Amino acid sequence: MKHPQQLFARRALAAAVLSAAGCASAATYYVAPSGSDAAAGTLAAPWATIAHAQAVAAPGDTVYFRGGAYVFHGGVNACASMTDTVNAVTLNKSGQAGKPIRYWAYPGEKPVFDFAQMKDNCRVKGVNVTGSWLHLKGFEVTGAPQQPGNLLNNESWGVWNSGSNNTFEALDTHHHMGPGMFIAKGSNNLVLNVDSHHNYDPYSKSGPGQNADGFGVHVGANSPGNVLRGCRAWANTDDGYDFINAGSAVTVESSWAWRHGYYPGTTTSVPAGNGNGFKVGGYGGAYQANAPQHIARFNVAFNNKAAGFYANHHPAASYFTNNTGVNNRPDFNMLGVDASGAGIALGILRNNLAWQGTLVSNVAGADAVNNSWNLASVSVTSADFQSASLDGWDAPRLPDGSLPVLPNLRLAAGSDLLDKGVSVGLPYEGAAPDLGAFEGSARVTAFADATPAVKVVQSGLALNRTTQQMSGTLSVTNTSTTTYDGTLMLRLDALTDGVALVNRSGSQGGAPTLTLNPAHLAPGQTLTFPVVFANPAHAAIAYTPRLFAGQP
Amino acid sequence: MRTFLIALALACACGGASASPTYRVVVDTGAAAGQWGWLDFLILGQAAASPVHATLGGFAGIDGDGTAPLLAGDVAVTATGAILGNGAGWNEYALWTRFGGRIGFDVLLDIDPRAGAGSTLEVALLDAAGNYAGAAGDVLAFALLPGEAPVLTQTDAVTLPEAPAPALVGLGLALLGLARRRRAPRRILAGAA
Repeated sequence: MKHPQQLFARRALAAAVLSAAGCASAATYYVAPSGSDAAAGTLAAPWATIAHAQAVAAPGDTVYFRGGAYVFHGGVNACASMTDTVNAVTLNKSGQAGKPIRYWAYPGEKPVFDFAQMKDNCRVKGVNVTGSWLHLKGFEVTGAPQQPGNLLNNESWGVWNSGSNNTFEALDTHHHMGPGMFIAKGSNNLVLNVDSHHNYDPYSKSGPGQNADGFGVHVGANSPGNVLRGCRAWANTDDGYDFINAGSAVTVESSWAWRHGYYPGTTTSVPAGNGNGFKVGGYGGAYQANAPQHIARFNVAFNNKAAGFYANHHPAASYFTNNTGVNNRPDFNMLGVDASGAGIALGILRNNLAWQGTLVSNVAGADAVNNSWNLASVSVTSADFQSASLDGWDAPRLPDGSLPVLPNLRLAAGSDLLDKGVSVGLPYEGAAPDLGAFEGSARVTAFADATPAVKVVQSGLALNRTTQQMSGTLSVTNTSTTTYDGTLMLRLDALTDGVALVNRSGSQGGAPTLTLNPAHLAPGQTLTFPVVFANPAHAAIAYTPRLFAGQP
Repeated sequence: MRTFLIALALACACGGASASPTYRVVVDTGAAAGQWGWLDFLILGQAAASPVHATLGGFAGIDGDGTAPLLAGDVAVTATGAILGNGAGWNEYALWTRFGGRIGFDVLLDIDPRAGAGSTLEVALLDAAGNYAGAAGDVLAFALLPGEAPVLTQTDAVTLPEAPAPALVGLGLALLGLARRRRAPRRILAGAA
């Protein structure tokens, strides 16, 4: 007979093997606002600075940043003149293919890199990325300044990149005196699920507000593969997305842009701010041979001062596919330029949807078919949408950083815009692609975060040794005066890696959910959700419970 | 199997603070008579849980063969038993014994009243491979929530005849201080999971 402890140990070993699988030899380090660079860089003794973390980190390593403010008071270099540029953070050590260096927010926490206190009297790059094979994830980046009285320069930058094969994910870059996210050089960079908003450059020599784009991609020739996906730009004084002077094709997809060209948070025009949602190319009006064909697809632009989608005198026909423009001026403007310098209509437009505002300009002569404005069989009204609301687009992102799921501008069942597109080789539902950014008419429930209105109690967990599952309950008590009727969805954010919610109803943004429908939660009432976990590594289970109420 | 829910007020007879209820527990292991196995105590930790300590002592009826107790996670061995906490994901203390007779032990619970997730102290009879012996699940469970009385779930095999002697309570309280000092760094590590 085996010794009884051997049998127990065998199970423990199996759990440990599961836990360690895939870890290889990559190191994990930690940085915290209260840390010290003389410390060990562990969770219990974190470092203080990203500079020190970079000095130690090797390809394949991960550096986690704890939540809180990392306040920068000056650049790592000094202004040699008033037209010089200083960098608050420089990431110049590269990872390797398949072994990126990861600079990630600690799960469930928000590190904030704040540059607003910098007084360097020249241009500022908040985060200056010159290395390659880097992955930045989960940071808030704010406040890259210009200095009053120094009108010798144009913009500063929130995040500036000249490396290749980098991933910028789930960043919130805002309130810079210049663009929030700027790709100056490099290939195969992915900007994923990044928000860039409220950027305004008041001290630019070219005019206040003229250079604060949400996203700028201005790479040279032979710099392919730069992609922006799942991004949002709003309330920037210049454009949402600007690819002017880009010598290589850029793809922007499943991204949104609204309220550009205005002072942030207002509808007061910034005179120098261009105000386009998506400015897809151009070279300042000049013709350039061998210009690339950019790709803009599945995007939404609304309420911009100028065009929703703008070719900007681009000399080549870019691809505009399944975009939705609402209440822009105009929604689509395909002004290109020919070799003689004359303005022409250039663009390959398929399955786009324009509604309200000025629908289109400079499309006569462009390659445009199966768009809402050139299909006699369709008309666009508010009844075509599950919701015609242009509010709420800045709702919190889902736990994995993806865009919030809204009913806004999604097609309703019975809309004559369904199946009116033409296949472009991309997946679609039904007989043909739909018009606009959102395929299909599946009903989307608008959820409001009811977490502040409830008290949540997590019970202890009990083990079922037969199934090895751990079960307990989550009780939510309505502490508000609001009665919730309809659908209630409990979401477990930031659930510990390796732990699964066995009895989940579904998932949202990568987080498991438990749904009650119909549900009724009156003031003072308590609802109890059973939870059952699989936890083979026997980790201490952690998660953040959040309750969402769906509209009935 | 019949299950009872018994509130702390019915079980605690020591007159101590409600945050430190005490119990004398007797488990009839006759349903697993003839088997060797573990009298197992388990607390599954959650990262958000309020700290909990269970002081286990006063063991009677343990018919062992010299096999050492099983220890895992947040557990400290004492002269008369162990102090089991919830500072790791899996916290366990188990004694090897031959089943068939009645096994008695004392439980003193210390529950931090600060807000946080609850914990459950489970007591089970397990065979050598870790499967339930003589029952389909735990024989006894203490569901603990900060600021609330423990809720007990037990099978017919369990009786709660009397409260422990005051001497044990005093010993347990003294040991709690030791356990907390030992536990401090572990709680930091637990937060990393």
